[in-house]
Amino acid sequence: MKHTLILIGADKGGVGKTTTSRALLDFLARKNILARAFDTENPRGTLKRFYPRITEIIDLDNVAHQMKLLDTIETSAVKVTVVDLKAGNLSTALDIFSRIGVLDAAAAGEFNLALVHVVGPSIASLDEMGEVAGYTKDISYVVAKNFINETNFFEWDDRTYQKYFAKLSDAKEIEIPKLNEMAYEQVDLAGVTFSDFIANQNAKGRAGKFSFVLRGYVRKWMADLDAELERLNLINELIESSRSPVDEEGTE
Amino acid sequence: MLARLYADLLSLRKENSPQIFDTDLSGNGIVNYFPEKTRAIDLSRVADQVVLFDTMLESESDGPSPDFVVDVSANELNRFFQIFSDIGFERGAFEAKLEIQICYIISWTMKSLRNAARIRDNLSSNRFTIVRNMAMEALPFTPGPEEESQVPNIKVDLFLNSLSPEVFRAIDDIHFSFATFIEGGHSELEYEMRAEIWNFLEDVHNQIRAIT
Repeated sequence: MKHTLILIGADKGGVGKTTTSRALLDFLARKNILARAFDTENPRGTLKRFYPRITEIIDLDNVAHQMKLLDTIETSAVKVTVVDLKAGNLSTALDIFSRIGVLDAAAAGEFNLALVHVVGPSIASLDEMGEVAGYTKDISYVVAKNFINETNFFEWDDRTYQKYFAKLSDAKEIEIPKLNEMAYEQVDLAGVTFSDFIANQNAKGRAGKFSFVLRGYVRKWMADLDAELERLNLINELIESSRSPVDEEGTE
Repeated sequence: MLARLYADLLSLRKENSPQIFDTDLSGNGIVNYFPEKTRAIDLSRVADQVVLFDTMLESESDGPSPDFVVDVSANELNRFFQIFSDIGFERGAFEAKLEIQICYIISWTMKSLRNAARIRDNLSSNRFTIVRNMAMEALPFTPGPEEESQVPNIKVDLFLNSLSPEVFRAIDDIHFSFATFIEGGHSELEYEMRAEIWNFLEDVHNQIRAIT
């Protein structure tokens, strides 16, 4: 199975980037796809709080940390890497990856590379898509419209949106559905994964006391989100690969 | 009236039961009849949804199981069943061994019949009771020729028979309690009125027994 590197980022803060990373890691875990994660929100690392066992906090400007992420792609037994890029750092990160040859390596088929670009309901967010377009030609580019934090998203003129979106070749579009604020806050407060919250399991792995109603809302949200993620070829290929008992060398 | 009736019948079965939730925030609903036992629920607030649904499920595991009556006002019906479905309440109730009985009062209009059919078809529970309240002077519904094929297949399970205006006024009074009446109270009512109420209650009781 070829390694898959999934970058999740946005140049604008507060658009739900880490929530999208968490949702993706939850999805992969539910599909029995092993993943490791890197959180570039150095030194705090929100993602690490929810996935302490599989997440490392790194500073992308630090060469040693770049090596920790990229030089292990070929050798890691875990074949999916999710990188939660620090808010406001998307263009910089793509520039770094371009300069050190990551984008070229992906274009050459050494590994799969995807960028999940989380966008909010603003022209600034749409402008970001134009800014990163130069880097996304040979990679899977997913625009994730995030409905998590606000009720009304993307209510602007459709022609304006199309004007920006049409510039992007082969971009896939998904929606991160709205999750009720109280449910979102309770999961955050509990410091557990969405799946554990639904299963009423606390951070220590014991039975939690989470509200049935809120767990129900998170369950519904996850089901809606699963449907969105399953529209992506990248995700379907990962699911297919994980089902195959035989690896590329033909050994079991 | 049906929610009141259930609440009174349940109160005769168990001490301190039932707990009542009222989604009618106008203050004119069931809270008038059971002010001590009723909690108002604003279904537009998730915090209130938590109070309503979590209370019903948690009580089952924490000791003696109380009964609950939820009086869902007509304007909150769709929201209630949307939440009910979204959070998977039926499954939660099954796991908590909480029996659900849904009584849906139809108004005998195409809209009402369709709504009933839609809600019934979305439920996995078969404890869905269609109620026709003749006591409230429901208007007859006769579908036009073009509507006939669109009328959902609805079987009425429970009829609340029509009542005389005097009896209706008497039982509508906030001081009237079916439980008190059954226990021999409300002796101020005339004999004919008492007989009519007894007949009404006996008829409803027999129908409820037949469907549960």
